[in-house]
Amino acid sequence: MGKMTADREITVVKAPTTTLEAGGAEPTPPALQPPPKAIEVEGVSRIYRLGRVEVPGLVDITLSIERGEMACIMGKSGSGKSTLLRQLSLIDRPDRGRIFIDGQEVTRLGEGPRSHLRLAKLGYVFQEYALVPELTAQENVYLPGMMLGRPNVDYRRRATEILELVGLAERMRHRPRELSGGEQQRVAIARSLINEPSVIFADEPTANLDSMSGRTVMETLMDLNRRLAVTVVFVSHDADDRRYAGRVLFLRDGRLADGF
Amino acid sequence: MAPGRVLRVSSFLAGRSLTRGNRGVTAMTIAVLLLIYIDLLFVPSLIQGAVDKINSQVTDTLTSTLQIMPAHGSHDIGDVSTYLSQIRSTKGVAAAAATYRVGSEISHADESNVWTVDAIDPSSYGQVFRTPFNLAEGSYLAAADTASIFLGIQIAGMGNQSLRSYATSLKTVHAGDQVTVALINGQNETLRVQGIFNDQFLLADQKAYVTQQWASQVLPAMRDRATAIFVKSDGTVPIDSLVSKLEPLRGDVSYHTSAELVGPINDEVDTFNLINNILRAITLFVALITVFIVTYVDLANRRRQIGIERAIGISPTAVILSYVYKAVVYACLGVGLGAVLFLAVAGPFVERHPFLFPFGPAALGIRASEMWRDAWILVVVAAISACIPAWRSVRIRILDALWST
Repeated sequence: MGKMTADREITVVKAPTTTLEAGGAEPTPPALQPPPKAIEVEGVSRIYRLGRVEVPGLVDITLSIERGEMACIMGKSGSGKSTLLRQLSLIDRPDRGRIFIDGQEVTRLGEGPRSHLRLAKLGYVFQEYALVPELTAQENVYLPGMMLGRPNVDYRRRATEILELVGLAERMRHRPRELSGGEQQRVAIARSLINEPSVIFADEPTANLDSMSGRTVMETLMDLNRRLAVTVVFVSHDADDRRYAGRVLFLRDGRLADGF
Repeated sequence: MAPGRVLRVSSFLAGRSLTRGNRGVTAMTIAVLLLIYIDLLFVPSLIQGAVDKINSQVTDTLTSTLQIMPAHGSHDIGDVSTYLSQIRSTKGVAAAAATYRVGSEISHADESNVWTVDAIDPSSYGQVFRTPFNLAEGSYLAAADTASIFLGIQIAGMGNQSLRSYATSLKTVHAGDQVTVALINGQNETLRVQGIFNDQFLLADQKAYVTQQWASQVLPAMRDRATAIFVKSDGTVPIDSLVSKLEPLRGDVSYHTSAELVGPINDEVDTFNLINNILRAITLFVALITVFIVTYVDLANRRRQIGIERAIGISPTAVILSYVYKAVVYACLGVGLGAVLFLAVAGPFVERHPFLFPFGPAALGIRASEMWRDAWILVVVAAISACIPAWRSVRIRILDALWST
């Protein structure tokens, strides 16, 4: 962990910006200073309290994920996969330990900065399609862009480009109920990309899809990981999905078991 | 987070939800707010209409703008013709008329009762009051008429048993009939009923008039004297200024505005306003509960969606504001449609079928300022009542929201 401390001392908090035009070019690190890792986790534990009973969700997890990596968190049901993803993606807070995103400690941030970090640096793909039903595919995609409001960014045009990238250019005027499950999940992936995140988190993105749609979704994520050099962390209980990942993190009873 | 972006996102979410969401819920919510707005307007307008009617009836049939009476201890005012000329030439005076109380009892056949009989100059009286124009039967008095009387309908009865004072009236008197008047000198005079008027105002319709010319013949002592002088303002001068201008003319009189003379009626108006404020508070509470329930149900159905929106970085303020925007739009549409319905349908309908009060038929007294005030209040109440459940829902942990069904 000493190395991580040294990294923080030389932190370059801003991640190299990935753009659609980057075409898969590797981010260039600052001279003589190694870039911080995309994610670093130090001794994270999460305990759920059900009345007087304490159920350990995660126990002393320590890991790191490199920039541009595509990592899969696997394990049986109840092993803590989604719990870990929620800690990494700032949706939940650990009871112990520290988490760093791009070298910045995020564990103790207030809800406002965490919300801004989720908006600006992280992308999400949920198990269920999780789109706003009244918005078209294009509107769903550009909503986070509108919220972030980066200057000189035409988020409508960018949403169109991303939808083209995930193969949904023809469907961008359609509302979620007019799209298949796989298409909705690809819209969710496109939405996760709108603000050029450092990391995309996907929580069992193929769980509700047929095998064909599931394959399309995973290939889309893999393609984006390669072309845009965006870090992807996804959860899956399907052993076949490990083929999409550069690294697999196995969880058993809330502990890292193998592959790390 | 920049306020501009938060406002843009919240209005965007609200706009899409309104235009593409459940139209039935939107229509019902707007309809309820429309009815609430009309409810807010209706009773105050009716009370205002009644107050307007009271004021117009009092000034048009009883007191005019200003009533000049003999000072305390005097029975009448002397040198009336000179005084009237001075009054009429005063700036702000449209017309003035003098009356003299000449009789107190009228009888016909077996019916008899005590009513006031005033001697008037028909011409100048018609310039001050509307009574000459509210004919029910016969015709108004002419200056040269002698032994003629102009009766209020509540005295004559006219065989109309639905009249409020029919039981105490002369019951069957019509124009052309003969009635007997007991004059203040104790003498009885038989007079022909020249006409019968209906001011639709109980107090006014229990009066009777004879001509000054005839009265001065039978009561020479009243010549050039008056028991009251009525002054009609032309509206260009405030009533207090008008009194100030008239006061130097005579010292042996007292001045009374119509507002002073209708004191008991003002008490009734205050009671109406109190009832109205209670009803208004209840109506606004109903509005608050309605919008609260609509927003609460909407939020309960979207708890997971809100969790997702927050997870992807949409700020809680933007989420809350989107619901506030929706409520404001509901309220604005309800208010707008309610105003159209009120002005185009309810107002004209009540105008055509007015509410009947003892002081006459009253329509709705619509005031633009009150319509605006109630509109603002309703919009603010709607915004607050949407804000509360929305604020509560974004306080839930994201994880709990995401786990919601």
